[in-house]
Amino acid sequence: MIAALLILFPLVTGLICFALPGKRASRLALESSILTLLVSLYAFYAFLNGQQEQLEVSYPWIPSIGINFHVGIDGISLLLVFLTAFLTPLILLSSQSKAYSQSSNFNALVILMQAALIGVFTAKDAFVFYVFWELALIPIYFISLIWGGENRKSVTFKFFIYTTVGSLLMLASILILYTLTPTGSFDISTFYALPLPLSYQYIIFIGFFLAFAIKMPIFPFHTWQPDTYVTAPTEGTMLLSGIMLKMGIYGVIRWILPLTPIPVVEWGWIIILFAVIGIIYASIIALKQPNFKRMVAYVSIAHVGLMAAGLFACNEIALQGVVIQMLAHGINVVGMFYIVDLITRRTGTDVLDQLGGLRNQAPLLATFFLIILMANIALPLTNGFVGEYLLIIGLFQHNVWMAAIAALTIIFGAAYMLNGYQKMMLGAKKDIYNHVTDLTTKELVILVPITIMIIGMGVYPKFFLDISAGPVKEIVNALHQGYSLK
Amino acid sequence: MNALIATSVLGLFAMISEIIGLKKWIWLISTIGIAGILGLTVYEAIAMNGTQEVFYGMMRQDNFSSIFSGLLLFITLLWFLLAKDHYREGNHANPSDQSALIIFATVGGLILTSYTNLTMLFLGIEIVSIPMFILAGSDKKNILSNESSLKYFIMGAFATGIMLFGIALLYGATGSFDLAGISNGLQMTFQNPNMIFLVLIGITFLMVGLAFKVSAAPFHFWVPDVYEGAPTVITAFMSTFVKTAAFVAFLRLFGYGFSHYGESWMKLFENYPIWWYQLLFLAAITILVGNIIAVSQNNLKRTLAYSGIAQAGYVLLTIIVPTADTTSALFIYTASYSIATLVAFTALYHVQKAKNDYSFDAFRGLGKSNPGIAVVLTLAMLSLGGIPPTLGFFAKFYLFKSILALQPEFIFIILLAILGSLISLYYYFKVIISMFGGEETSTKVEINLSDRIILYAVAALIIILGLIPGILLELGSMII
Repeated sequence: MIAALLILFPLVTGLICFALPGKRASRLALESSILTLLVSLYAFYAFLNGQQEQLEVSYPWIPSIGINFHVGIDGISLLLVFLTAFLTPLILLSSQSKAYSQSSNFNALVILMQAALIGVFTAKDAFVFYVFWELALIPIYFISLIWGGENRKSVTFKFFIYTTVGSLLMLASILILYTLTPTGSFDISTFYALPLPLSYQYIIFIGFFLAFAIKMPIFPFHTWQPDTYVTAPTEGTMLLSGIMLKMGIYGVIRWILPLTPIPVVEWGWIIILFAVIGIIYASIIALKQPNFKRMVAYVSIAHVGLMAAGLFACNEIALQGVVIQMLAHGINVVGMFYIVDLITRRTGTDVLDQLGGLRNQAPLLATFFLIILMANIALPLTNGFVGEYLLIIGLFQHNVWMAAIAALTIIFGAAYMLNGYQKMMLGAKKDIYNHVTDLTTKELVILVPITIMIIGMGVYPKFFLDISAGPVKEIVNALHQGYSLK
Repeated sequence: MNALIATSVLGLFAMISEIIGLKKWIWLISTIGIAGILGLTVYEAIAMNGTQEVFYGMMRQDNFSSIFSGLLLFITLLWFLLAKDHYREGNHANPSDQSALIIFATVGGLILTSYTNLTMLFLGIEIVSIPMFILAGSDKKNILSNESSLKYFIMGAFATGIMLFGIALLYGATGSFDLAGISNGLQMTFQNPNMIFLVLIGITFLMVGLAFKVSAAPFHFWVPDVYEGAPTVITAFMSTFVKTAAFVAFLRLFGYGFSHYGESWMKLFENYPIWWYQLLFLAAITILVGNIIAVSQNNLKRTLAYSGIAQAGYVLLTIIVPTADTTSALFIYTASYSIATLVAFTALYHVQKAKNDYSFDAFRGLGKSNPGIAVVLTLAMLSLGGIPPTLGFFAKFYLFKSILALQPEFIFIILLAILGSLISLYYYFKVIISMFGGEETSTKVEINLSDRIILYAVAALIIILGLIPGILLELGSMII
């Protein structure tokens, strides 16, 4: 019930927002997103008390071809639903301090996007999953197209086509799986129970993997990402980097690992290799970026590369690391892009060399920036540390060399992040930025929850780790069992 | 079959309505008339038990004919509703003639859903086509419209000639025009390889004629020019109704023919799977040609013409392997395609009328000046491109599913179709990008309130049926 509510409620309010005038639409959107957050917190409560029946629901949708609106929340879904519900109000708040034209449409699209994302994270039916997967793309496409920056037409279109290539291949895989089911069903449990012939596993793996790899994106499918992140309005970038890329990682966990264990184990090393190359490659480019926003975009590729490598390490620790890192990265990267936005709005530029000494004018901003930055570097006691630490241990168990190279990300991270911080915040006071003001209350309302999450998760990660432990264990067991059948 | 007679009477009435001074009411009369006939068809379908031979066995009323008649009448009804503005004072000189011709074409469509005799197939095709030849040229002073009419007529006559030749060859080989008679005749021809040769050539010719009508490549060359030259409302009718009717005729010959006049057709099919390859080739090349050429078009009308070609390719896939499932897929797909295309053409009609331009530039800034039309057109484009949660997505999904479920080796043609729909996104999104991507604002397109409400309501169908496609599935599963 809760799962369906979490999807349908934003879906309906999103549609209502289109019809309302700007001010009221943004208020309704914000209220709706806060309500969704509360419901997601209730989902935690229900989950911890073992009320699984409250979290899962299945209605017949198109019964004649075996499609049910089957959504449910398990430990992994719960964390991602929470991430979505936690970030959406912040993203909406961030947008409200700007004067977007047609703001009711903007709010409506963000809320619709939220519904679709929660749908992706809870779907237990392949058809439902695919519908939400594509549905999530449409709002973000229009957000970037209508409110984006320079060159938005071609950049957003490239993004759209790129991701749709993946989606359609995934559709082919889903259809093949469907034809293999004895009674004709799209339910995930039916898929899990299938004895998949070896040759089919490879085909299905390719279809799913390309869809997810493009969405994440893993090197070398990342070329749409930096341009799109830079061109999209900040809120769009937050949605893309904070939540949407988790769709790809979640997809691998939910669909690829249990369904096609043999190609996962056999081809995993290639993917890890590419992921590690991606980490190094993106880090080096990030070091050289003159623009801060673009730099954060590349940093995101590096971080995702580490998660992607962890996905295919095929052990529990790495997978736990991935799950916790999804949550942490979502929060941190949104914080980071928000800081970028704050600085750009105040100074009119995000070129590192033009900025400097902002700490003098905005000490509070500098402090929050530093905290979020430390989380991005994965300093102990921040949330970034937990994830990266588990990921590197997991990778180390899988392959020492890969782990060693992948761990360079922490050093690189420190290098580019601190370099950026130094150029923007430290140094001599620049008089041209005297008009720069410090954080307002509204901005604090966004930054404080992010900071609380960063430190809270860093100090006591066990709460979140325990939630995802059960399903992660199941998935890893299913993976090894499936492989041993070969 | 009362629907057929009622439609003919309505057509005759529409023709004389101008003489008896009902010119102003012609739109209302036709719309209500078609709606009434649709109701009659539904009533007859419910009341009917079993199948029924009509007109001395030339036609046959069954679930297939009832459901597809319903679909065709529904398309005509939607067309009349959406073309309301076209019938307003001063927009068109001969409303009653036009109405009559459209209704006569509908009669032809109804024949195509229920024929059991190849002469009726021929008659049906002619009755659909001849009004279209005239209507394509109905914008008399426009040279493009004249060209369109002439081109359509010459090419169409040629294609019908080839089809007739095919029918004659089949008659020569089997001694009958009747589907059942041909089936019996085939039994004898199996002993005689020369006769089989005649049958195969005959069927190939029939296929060519029908492929022309459904605008499958490589018989598609007339489509862009004819569609572009004809008045937009007529193009809307041609690309939806006529195409659907032709597909129904195609399916009735290949799908229904097999399943009802059974064994000898099946045997022919199994022993000489040449059609199978022919259709596969047609479908593959249609998908590729339609989608690839559409990419380079710079106006929406021509793009929609090529999109129609490409979409025909997907539908052709269902005819390769005719089963209950794929027939149902054809039904849903043509319904989905027709609704989306009608909506797109109506939006195009209004923009074209206001700006006298139908290139992509005319749509610039429409998202700001006319958000309603822009959203409606976006929905239509998303549906044609097959993006959830529109009906177009479900139709495509179901089509692929039904083909794959039947023949897993078809994964390659499905991958080709997927590639095609990927390319199609490029041109469907062109117009979306120009509507929403620009800073420019354009002049507002004025649309009458009632027209707008109808347009929104039909566009809402795209989403509503996309979310609950169960209704269409239910109907589709009853066809065979």
